[in-house]
Amino acid sequence: MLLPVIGSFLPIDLVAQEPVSYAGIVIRPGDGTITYVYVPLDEPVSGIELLRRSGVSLVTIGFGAFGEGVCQIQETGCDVGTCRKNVCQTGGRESPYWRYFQVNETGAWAASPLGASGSRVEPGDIDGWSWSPDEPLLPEIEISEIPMLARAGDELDTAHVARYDANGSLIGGAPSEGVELTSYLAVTVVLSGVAVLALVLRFRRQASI
Amino acid sequence: MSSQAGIDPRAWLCWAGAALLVPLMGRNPFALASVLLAVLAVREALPPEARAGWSWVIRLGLVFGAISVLFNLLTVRAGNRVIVSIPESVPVLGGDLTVNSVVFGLLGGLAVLTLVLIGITLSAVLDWSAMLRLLPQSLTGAGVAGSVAFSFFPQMVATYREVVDAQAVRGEELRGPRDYLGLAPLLLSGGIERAVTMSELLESRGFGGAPPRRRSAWIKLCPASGLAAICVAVYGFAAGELVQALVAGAAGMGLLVVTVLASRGSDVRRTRYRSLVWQRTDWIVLLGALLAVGTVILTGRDALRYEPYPVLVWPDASLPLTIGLLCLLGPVVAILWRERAR
Repeated sequence: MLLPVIGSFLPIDLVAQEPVSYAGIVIRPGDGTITYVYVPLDEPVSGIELLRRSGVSLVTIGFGAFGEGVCQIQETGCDVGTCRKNVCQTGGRESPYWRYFQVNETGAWAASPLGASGSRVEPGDIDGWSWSPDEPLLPEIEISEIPMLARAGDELDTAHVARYDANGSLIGGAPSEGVELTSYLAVTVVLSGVAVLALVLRFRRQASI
Repeated sequence: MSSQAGIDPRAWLCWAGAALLVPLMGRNPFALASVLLAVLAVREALPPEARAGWSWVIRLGLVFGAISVLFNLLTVRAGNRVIVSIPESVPVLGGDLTVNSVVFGLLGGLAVLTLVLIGITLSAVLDWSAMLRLLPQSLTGAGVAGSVAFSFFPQMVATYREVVDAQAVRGEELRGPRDYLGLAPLLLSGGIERAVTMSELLESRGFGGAPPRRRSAWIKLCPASGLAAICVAVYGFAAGELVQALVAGAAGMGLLVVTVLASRGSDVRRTRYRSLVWQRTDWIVLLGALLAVGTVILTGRDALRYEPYPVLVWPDASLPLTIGLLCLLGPVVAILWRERAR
């Protein structure tokens, strides 16, 4: 009986659609791969904080009141010295750097007017990081796709990261392909042989004493 | 005169250098396991007297490995596989404890254990006096210092063994930490006695006995500069800076050649009672070490790398790399060959 009363006080958005308690990050390092990140989120945070919570390897430097600059995400970027001088840019028009984007109301990627330290990311938002001089070149995506693409599975209370190559195949997943399994098996057999050799040598020595 | 296992010390040094590459350069579990098993097999092939007394060092390596796992787990907060979350209000420890950090700690511990095993194998088999005689005259000073430093630990182990045996004969057994504390003065005095004996032996054999020749300051700087450049080259190689490593290595070798040339016609003429003879079995050890290094170079540094952060992924398993690294079993072949020939 009380439910309709409580429902009347809820915001329209919450009634209309199920709220999400996570945010997403899409990372494009410019080598053809795309990384999708699932980050559990219950409160608004800055873009930098979201990256930190993702567990993705990150190098940033502080610019005082301007916040932090992103030098390196995963293995792409530049060292701290270069980053401090020109945030990884070499001076040319086509020189890439880590550009920060957010999905706008129309679902398109738009360069964030604020830096990642000053931006506000809420649950349900998607941040984009592209190693690019201008265009985002990030795939269009909806927030509901993030858990699946980041391989979150049922573990929705921890961050998940999944990287895909240019063909859309998962990089660094379980060794499901035949070649990898064969390699694992072959190496294990060879190493077991060496372990047996060590044991034989040990027993041989003990027998000779 | 060869080592306890009958293998030339130069071959042993090459073997150890090749074995050290993997634990210093990467954390690939399969590559680490290959080297570890090869070193264990070599240790098992050694004569019993070369293996005795080192078990506590191995235990110490295991303890350091366990500490590495624990330290990594409690201090690293990165990774995608969370075991448990400690509230942020807990100082220092607050945050997510991850499987990734445990894996990295385990691999670090495995690398430490491998390094320890390589070190104690080399310490047990290497004939340091023979190594000293191989050095050029001008590097004798550095060689003596290095020899004393390297032989300090094996000598301490020998002293420890003697003390424990003597106490066992008297019916005393080491049980608690208090008993081990009593060993410290004995080990220290034993070490000093051995150092004095060694310095007297070296003096009586003409090491440092003659007055130094007059040389320019630049020539005097050459040995230290050469060794420093070679250290830089090794570090550069380990860090993947191959060009800088090659330049530093070439500079180091050049400086050492200058040192050797400048030291010709020394005032002290050293004689040898028995010269080292390079035998067929030494070739086996050297060839194995070279094949292992060649495989590492050909497969590239990426094959040795493994990073469990930020996402825990399966490591690469390379059969060619494994087989190449198992060429480090060369000493086993050489020792068995020699035993059969007797």
